[in-house]
Amino acid sequence: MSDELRDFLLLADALEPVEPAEGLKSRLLASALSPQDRWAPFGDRIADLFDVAAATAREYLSRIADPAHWEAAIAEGIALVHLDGGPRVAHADVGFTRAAAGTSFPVHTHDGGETTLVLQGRYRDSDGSVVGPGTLVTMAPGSTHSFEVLSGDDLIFAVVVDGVRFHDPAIIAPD
Amino acid sequence: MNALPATTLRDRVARFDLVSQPPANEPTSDADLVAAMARGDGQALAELYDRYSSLMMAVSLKVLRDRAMAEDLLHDVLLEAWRAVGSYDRSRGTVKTWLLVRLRSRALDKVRSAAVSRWVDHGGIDLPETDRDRKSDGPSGLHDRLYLRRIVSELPKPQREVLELAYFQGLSGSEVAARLGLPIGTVKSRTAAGLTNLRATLAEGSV
Repeated sequence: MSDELRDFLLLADALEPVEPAEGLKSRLLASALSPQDRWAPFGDRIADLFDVAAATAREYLSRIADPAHWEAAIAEGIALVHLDGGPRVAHADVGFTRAAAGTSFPVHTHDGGETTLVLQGRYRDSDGSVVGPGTLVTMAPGSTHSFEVLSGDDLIFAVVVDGVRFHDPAIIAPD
Repeated sequence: MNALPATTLRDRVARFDLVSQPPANEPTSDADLVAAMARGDGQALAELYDRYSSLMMAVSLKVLRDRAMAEDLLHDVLLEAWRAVGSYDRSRGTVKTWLLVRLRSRALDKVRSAAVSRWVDHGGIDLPETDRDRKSDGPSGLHDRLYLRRIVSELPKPQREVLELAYFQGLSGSEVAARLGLPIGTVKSRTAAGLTNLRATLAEGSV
């Protein structure tokens, strides 16, 4: 730490605290939790996962709040947003998945690998593990599982998946 | 039931942040709050606001001298912290330092279009190694802050004046000299004397 910064921090600590206006905290939280910024804290990790620029990641995350970007798929209560990933994930399907609280995500096998990053909500995997926001999960090629979305918030996760096969023949994997 | 692979999901979780949360009976550290913000936890941002808004508001007001502008800046800096929470690196400093540095930078940008110039020649004056920055990371630093406030208030006014113009208004040495109608040499000597007094008092008090 530079001397100048250290001196600044000392002088700042010596200031008499000043309470901001009563409504400022509410205004801040309304801004942070607005559709535009609700998932912004995940920007860096989404940019890395999807192999896109930070600005692109932020724009993708802002789509989550817009129903126009979601399309129903797989089963009742499940919807997808399809996105374009960068060169590193060009071989995979890239996007967001939403599953309503209480939804059973059907049994499926990952013919290729899969990486997911949970943005909201929690689920219990078929092996008993409970997974929540901020968790990055990798599934090996050939692995099989299902999961249940726990009560509370809908589950939303980012996904990069390289081939998936549902065991129920009535379910067709999304493109 | 389908055959599951031999490994458990926990084995496949590359970053299982949930298990790193502190026990419920321990106070949440600033770094834990930032980690929670990185998981999209708005309540963690609210808690960080409760801890630092009055200090940040004091700095913002000191620089901008306008309450409405100071509050707007506080809002914007904390919103930026939410958006860029992934940029916080605890190995480079405390959360409090991270917030105050962002605040100061944005505040000085508002009052000066040019980059803030470094002008104080510290000439071998070093702070004692008290690690006080780490110590004051969190609500436990209240006693230290009260002590600091007292010793800064007890600095001779000419010394306090030049320090505030330099550190909270971002003025260069010559700008401070022009503002106060003093020779540049006088400004530099008052700055050095103020910092020396501050550090000497801190060393005596072991803050």
